[in-house]
Amino acid sequence: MSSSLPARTSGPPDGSSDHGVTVYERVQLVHAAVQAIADRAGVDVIFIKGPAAERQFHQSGRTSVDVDVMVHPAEMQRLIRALQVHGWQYYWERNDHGLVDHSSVVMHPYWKIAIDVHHHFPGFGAAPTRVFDALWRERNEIEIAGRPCVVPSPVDHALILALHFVRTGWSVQAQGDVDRSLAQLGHSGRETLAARAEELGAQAALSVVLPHLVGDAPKPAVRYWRLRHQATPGFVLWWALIRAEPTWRQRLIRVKAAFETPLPLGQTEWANRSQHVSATVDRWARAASQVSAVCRRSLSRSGSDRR
Amino acid sequence: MTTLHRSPQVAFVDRDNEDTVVTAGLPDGPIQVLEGPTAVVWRLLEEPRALDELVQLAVSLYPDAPESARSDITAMVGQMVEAGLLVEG
Repeated sequence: MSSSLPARTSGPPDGSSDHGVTVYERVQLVHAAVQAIADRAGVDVIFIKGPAAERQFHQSGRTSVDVDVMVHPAEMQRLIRALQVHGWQYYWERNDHGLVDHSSVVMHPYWKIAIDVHHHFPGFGAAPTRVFDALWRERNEIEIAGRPCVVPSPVDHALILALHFVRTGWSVQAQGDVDRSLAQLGHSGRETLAARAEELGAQAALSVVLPHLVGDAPKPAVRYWRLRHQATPGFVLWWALIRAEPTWRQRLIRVKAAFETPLPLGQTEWANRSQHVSATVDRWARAASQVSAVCRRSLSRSGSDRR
Repeated sequence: MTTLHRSPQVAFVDRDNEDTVVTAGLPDGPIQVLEGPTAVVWRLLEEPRALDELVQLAVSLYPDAPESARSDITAMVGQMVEAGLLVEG
């Protein structure tokens, strides 16, 4: 498209200036751009949080700095490749063996916005494929930046916002987002949300922030999600995650993962052996310091109990 | 008679409280900020309109505009079509 309207329009064809275009305006435009790229590539995507939640739940005044999009796990690489064809650059893969998100981040030098591509959203216990298929079956379409974009149903989106709240910890904004979305669902919508949480294995995480909506969930899993909500240090979180696994085999997989040092953000491989060794030493030093702090706290607690 | 409408290959964010609309070609840009009469034309095309009707409506929003306003706006609409913001048909 040409940009030849100098008298009446302005724009940054070389990306060198934003001409007063805000980050949130670009975020909305990028939603439409990603939907267009996904449509052309024949990849199903679902936009979550940000402008999608703002429109579905009338969260006026909210802003976002990035785009969150869910994709079927089998189509993740196809979407990333389609984005790369349009100049999006693979930035990093967020993968801490299940302790945090598993998503890929791509950036664009012109749009200057990050896209967080999720094939799994933490808090859902069901297989990622099953979760995406379930969300897709109930999908809605809303206008973002004047173009139709695919979003979850209001019930599914409220569930995702609640799970996001579990993961990020308490804040006035996150609590407000969850409260507003639940209020708009009404009583029957909240009941549907509870049933959906059960169907997709999200009761344990959901019970941390909405205990009144959820029935019994396995205690070790609830404990793990409660610790995550409280921004607990990594060592304690790993221990809770290992205990939350239902079988010994899955626990062993977690134990093995706990001993692997994750790559630094933005890297797909270690630069050299010394970087790997140094990161591993740092990681274990942090873990030792966390163990020591936990021991000190429990000793101090037992001391005060005795007094 | 030529009917004009917004290109489906353009996304936009309307700054409701300002005389400005931010647009972007899909899927690669560029971002263009429409100001003043171009933003007015964009807003008037919320539904498709014939060129004559569009120009007449736009001119009516500027009661103090000179005689040349009609031809200026017609030329500007042509530029918006050339830029891919609007399509005919």
